[in-house]
Amino acid sequence: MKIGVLRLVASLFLVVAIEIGAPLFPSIIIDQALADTTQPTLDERKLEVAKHLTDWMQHELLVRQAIVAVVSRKGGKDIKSRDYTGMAHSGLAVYDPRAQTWIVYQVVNQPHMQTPVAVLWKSAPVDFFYGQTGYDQNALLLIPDAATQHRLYSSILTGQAFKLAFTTAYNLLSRYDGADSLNCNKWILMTIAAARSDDYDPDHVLQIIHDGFDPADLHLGFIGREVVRLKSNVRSSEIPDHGPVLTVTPQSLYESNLFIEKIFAAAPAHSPSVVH
Amino acid sequence: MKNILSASLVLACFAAQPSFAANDSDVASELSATPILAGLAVSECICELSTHAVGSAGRRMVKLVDASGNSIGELTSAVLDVKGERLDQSYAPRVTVDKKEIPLVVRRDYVEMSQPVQQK
Repeated sequence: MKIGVLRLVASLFLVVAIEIGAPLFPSIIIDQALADTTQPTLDERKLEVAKHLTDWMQHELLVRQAIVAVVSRKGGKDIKSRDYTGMAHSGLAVYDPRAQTWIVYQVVNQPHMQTPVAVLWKSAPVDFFYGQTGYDQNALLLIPDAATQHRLYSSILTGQAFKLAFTTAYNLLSRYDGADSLNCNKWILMTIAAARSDDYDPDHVLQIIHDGFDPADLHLGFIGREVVRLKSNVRSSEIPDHGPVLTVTPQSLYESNLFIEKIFAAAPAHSPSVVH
Repeated sequence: MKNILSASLVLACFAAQPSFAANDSDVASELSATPILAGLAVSECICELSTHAVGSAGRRMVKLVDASGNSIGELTSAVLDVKGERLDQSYAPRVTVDKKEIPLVVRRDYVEMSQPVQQK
């Protein structure tokens, strides 16, 4: 009986250590990062996937003469439990005649002193896709109508789109209409809402989103809620004690009426009911 | 046996929780940090920018840099004005934005770039 209890305690300790150990011992992580001074090795297989998806994206956008589109890349396998598109991270692909390709503008998390920080970043497509989780050759393009594309393009040229990155407070589960934090999908939604309304004031844009966007509602159990609060890219104070987490995800963008074309590189394992 | 079963149930319970941080992949790509661009470079002029290519199997990876070796700057209206005068790609489809014609040409090699946006 005692052995059984010990096993139970040991199992619990192991799980807790894996789940929440890293955030509790940040100095260990920092030390490991400092000790590991070797250059990261190139993942040739990942690079081939990235090249394939770059070819696909360029082809799809060129034949449609789309100068701006939303591009989403794959997340891990368990992401499908909360987003049937299978996508996790998104950027705004903007055609750059100097580069002769689309450059992907995106909000990324660049942690500083264990705090998640939102930073606007731009990447070539191959770099963007290289950052995906796993090796699935799938991605998602969401193409707005031509008028919205042109306004989005102008907002990049003038820098107005960058002003919509209104805070450096990053939160993976940022509330869709909240002014406390930002993440990649929320910034994209804000730039599109601003372009459609031709109003680039972040407060106004958040109100427009509040009035007219259906966010993803992520239902978390008690344990899930507490585990999520410990994640390094989540601001725990913004996670509600009760009710679903209302946020912007690739699925909520996909289901919105903001796009005239929605194109997967390959059919997702759990296909959405309608693929345009 | 009962306790082992309990432990398994607890494990299953934890395993069923969403692992949001594990796969959201919301950080910048590490491709720039890899040695792929450390190889021999061949330059090729594209208007005011140069491309530094790295020999590799298949199509090349290139990095766009100006005469000072700086990477590509922000896309602005001024950039489009310059490009409009210099580009001679009559075959390319064109999209007009704010009365500026943008020829859509897609390169056959792969641009490599990952950097913060320089906000005005």
